Amino acid sequence: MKRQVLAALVAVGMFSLNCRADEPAKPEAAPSGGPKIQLDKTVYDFGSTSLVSKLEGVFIISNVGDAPLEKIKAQPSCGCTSAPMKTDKLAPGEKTELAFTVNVGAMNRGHLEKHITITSSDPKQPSVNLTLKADIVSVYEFNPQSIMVGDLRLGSSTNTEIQVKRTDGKPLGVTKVEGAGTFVRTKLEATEGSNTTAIIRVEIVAEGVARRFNDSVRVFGENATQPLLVIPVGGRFVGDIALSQESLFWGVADSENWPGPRGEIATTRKIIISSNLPDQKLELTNLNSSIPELKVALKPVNEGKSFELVAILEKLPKESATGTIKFDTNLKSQPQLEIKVSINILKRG
Amino acid sequence: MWRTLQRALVVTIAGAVLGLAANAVSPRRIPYIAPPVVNVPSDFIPFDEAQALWRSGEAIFLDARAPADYAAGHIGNAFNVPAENFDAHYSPVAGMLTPASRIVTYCDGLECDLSHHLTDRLRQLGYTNVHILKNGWTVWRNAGLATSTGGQP
Repeated sequence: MKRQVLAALVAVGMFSLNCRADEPAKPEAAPSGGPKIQLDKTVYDFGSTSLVSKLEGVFIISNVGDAPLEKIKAQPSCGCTSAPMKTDKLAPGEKTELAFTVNVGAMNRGHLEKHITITSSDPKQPSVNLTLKADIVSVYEFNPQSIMVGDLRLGSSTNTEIQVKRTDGKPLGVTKVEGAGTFVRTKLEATEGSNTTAIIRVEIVAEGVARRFNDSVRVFGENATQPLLVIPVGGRFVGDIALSQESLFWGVADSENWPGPRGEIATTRKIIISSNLPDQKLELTNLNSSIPELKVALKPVNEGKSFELVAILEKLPKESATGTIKFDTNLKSQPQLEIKVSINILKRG
Repeated sequence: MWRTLQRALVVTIAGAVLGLAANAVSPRRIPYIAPPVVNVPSDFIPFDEAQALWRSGEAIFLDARAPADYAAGHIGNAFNVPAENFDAHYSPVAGMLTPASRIVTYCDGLECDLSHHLTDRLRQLGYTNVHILKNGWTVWRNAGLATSTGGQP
């Protein structure tokens, strides 16, 4: 029986050795001399949190060695984290605080994990990796999560609604709703019989000049400066004529081998020009390009309704250039249209 | 013979019981049932493919970092649309794009999530062909490809 117990112990020992074989090596005991960095913790776990725009905390850095710890630097893993060191030197037995801030930004749900690398003159542990983590839990659900209206004719408007719900059982707590731009009009309506839900009615009015817009509906709680939710709103206000693109860009990487193996893809850009007027035929004339090397042509796509403008850069200008493609139309509201062109040629070296 | 088998069985059971107990208390324990493997479609574009798109000018490259980082150095011919200030920088670039335009976003660092935020925002706007070049600035610079400094091209 003794032999059986002994054999079992040997088996367990072998199993344990196998289990631990891939674990990272632990730092060795404190050296007899020299600086030694020590942190109060290497993981700062905020757990589950919600309704935060930033996370803040402090690590304590100590020198437990018997020589000055120098060249202490803190390098965050991303621009969203700041961790300024108060000092870059610690005498033996001295401590310092490393206060950090993680900008959570618009993130309102998901797992967040950032790192800070501390480097120093500790010969045994020249760098220490610190982990900051949190699970951001949103207490609000909103549907839809963005409003994209596509093309909207000037002078018209569109209405939509956003449903908002608070999921932690507490009252909704929404105090104010506003559109960032004057053309986004909003109204908050309580839901009858519920203090955890509401409807935001959104009206987008196409006013001003034809342009793309990228705005937002902002939902505020008790804090009137930091929105609880930001719902993107985007689209384009168009006149009687809509262009699939309003400007053209050629980014030339290798001018000596232009246009390279993907010939037509590199040289050619196409824009669809279409009329929004149902009862009037569209006519385009006097097409020209201010850049001599850029050849332009119009091809009808849907007779009297839409055209394809084809711009071909068969030969490169000697240097980077900007210019325009212009054409006249028969519509009084937009008698001439202009498309900006930019050709950027990278220089070698 | 029977006795030898008995011993082997005892050794095996004792090893298994103690092994399971050690695993249960270990901070690096191995799960008994492996979680299902979920295939998540990748947002990332391989570096070679990104390079080919850049050479042909087929895709527009968008740098998601802050303007100061962009000005200090960026992929040649890339435009700056900082994810943290999207609204202020999107419009000038939007005129060059159609919903089907090929777009490559990037930032810097393996953990940088600015390119993800920018990609999400572009997809919300209806762009369907947006890819992320992971750790873009570092891999591009390390490959010795063309870079620029200063403002927009």
